[in-house]
Amino acid sequence: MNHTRLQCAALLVAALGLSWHDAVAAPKFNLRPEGKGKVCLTCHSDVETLLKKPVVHTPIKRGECIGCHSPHAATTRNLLWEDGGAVCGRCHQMVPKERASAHAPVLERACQKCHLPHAGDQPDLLTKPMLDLCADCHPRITEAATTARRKHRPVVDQGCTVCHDPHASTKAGALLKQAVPGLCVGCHKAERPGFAKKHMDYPVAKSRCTSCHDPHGSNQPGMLYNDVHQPVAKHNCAQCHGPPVAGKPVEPKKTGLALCQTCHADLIGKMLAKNRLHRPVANATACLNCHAAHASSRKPLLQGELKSVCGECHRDTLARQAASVTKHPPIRDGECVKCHDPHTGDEPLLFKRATDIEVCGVCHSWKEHQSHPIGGSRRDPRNPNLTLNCLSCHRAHGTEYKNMFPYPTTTTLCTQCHVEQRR
Amino acid sequence: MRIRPHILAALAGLLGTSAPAAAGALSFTPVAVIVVDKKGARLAAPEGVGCDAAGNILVADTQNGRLLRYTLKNGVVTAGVEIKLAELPYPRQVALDDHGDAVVLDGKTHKLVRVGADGTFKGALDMKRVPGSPIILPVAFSLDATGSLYVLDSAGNRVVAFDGTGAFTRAVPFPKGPGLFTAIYSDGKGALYAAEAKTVALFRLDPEGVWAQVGDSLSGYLSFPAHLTGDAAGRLFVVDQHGHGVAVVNHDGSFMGRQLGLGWVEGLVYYPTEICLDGKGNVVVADRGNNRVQIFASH
Repeated sequence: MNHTRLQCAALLVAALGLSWHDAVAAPKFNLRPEGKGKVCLTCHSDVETLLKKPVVHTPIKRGECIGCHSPHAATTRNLLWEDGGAVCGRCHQMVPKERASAHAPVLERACQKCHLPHAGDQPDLLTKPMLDLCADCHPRITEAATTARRKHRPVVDQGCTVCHDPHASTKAGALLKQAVPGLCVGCHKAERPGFAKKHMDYPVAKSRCTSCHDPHGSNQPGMLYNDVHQPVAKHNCAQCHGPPVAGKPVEPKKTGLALCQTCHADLIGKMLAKNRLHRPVANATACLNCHAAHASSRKPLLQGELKSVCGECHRDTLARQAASVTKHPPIRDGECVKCHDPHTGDEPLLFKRATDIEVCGVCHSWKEHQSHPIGGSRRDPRNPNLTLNCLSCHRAHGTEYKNMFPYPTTTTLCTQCHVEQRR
Repeated sequence: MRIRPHILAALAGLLGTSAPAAAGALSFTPVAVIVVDKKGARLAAPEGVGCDAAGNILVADTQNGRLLRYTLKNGVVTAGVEIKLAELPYPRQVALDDHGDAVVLDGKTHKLVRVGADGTFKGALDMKRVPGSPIILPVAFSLDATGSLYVLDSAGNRVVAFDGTGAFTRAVPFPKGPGLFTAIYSDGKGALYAAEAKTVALFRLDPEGVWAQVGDSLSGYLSFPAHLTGDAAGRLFVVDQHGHGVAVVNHDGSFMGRQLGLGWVEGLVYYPTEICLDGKGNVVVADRGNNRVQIFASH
């Protein structure tokens, strides 16, 4: 809730000589003045103690409980005029129709996740101090912000709302009050000589600052993300980029694999020597399909969480897992590399090991699998060119059926091979 | 909840029923299965198949690092010679030309190799003189009836074309952006198509040399396009590797139906990688996950 806006609205209401409730959608009750709230206190005496709190919701302050509650009866909890946050929306229109981003609790009308309805100790009736409150849902970010060696001062001093609008933004994603870099250069003046020097005279004022810097704080100098590409850490931009000349000021010296090969020739050489190459490794964007060029919060310089990095191309696999009745933890948790090599390999599907059983055996002790003999030279009755293995009965990325079976019932599964048992 | 056709097809396959048949009444019926070579040695993860109207079939027995010749006559497959070449340690895609020669893409050497009808090495495509990119990584190709060879160069994000003599003719870049082009197909009449896996869409190169998407995204009908080919009627066949089937698409991009489905018994497929149409109504499928090649009659 925007406290200033609330105060303005209250002033407007008072100036017009209306009661708070009149200004909203007044029900047709012929209430006596004290019937709007004062009379409520005869039973709800605890509310009087709330009135002593430093921040009190305007309707209560004005003795108008009926701003939110029906005095007689309602179909909602707590006799509210409307359910949950919908009643807040009668006064507080927090989400503009044209928006670039919106906070999930706001869209869900779960105002009470962040705000108290009556009175509290925090500004804007927040349930907790801002950083603690945001930490409830965003613990990794707030922990980094408060414990990082290089803290972003505005975040620590003024909280998350220094950059983010807690409700919605019409200007940028991630609830940012303004898009990056405009938001950043508001404080970090690009025209100052120190700015250019820090960036090795490369004209980065219009670049996306958050591709290198962690705006919430980090342990690295310059608040770079914690995993920094060595040339960046050593201020050796020239290792990959040409000099900052006009026209092509940040042009890489080479493109694709050829650029990365300059330093990582051994690694790339080994990759290219394998039987199979993961397609993105070899395309025009090459390593930068998955890795950040400068810095990242996720090792090894990943563009994001592995699930989203892999999911960029393998949406079908994520969709399959999402629809799966039984979740397979490596896929659910985005640990695709537990089974697949992300770069290269000698096996189909870039499996890290030669057989399905070996792949699954990393986590599952197949020798303790009591329900069926598998492995060795046990042939699959359905296909003489296959041996029985884990994937004979399970689909690793999930299915619509329990235990990642490819068939709706265990009987249907078993009788695929044990045809004599079919009924 | 809307169940997508490719999931329905997979389920239908598993449950032993036929996949949804639209495809202009097109349907695949099993003809023969190839599981072993002439000596009875089993195939291992075959990824490539080439075929022609004379009944010749060439299989890239990928995990065994060899090529295998077969002939198909009156629905009966006869195993032929095994071809092992140092230049092809990991063959992944195959095409036969009108002279019985083969063009083979190797996954390990990243070379396109011409193999004679007698199994001899006849040279590798010279890509060193292709301008524009220091690294060329062919990941797929299409050999059309005119002998022209189109190579999907992943490193250069483009298609590189060669004439029948192997001379470079032109390079056509794919649209800029985060696309992942996985397969190309030249119909030999001037149309060049490409399959893009992120948006699950087909593209066609227009006469001005610009790629344009053909129809809507096929994401509702297939999971991951891995190979693309076509027939004389103008239909395109997209191998859906992760969706375990083949999607049939009209040349205008409209979806015409799916064939095959996930399974291990004959008639079903498991991670198929390449198909070949022999021009006489037969469809040869590299059924990699099942370690076999299957032949279907297309009606």
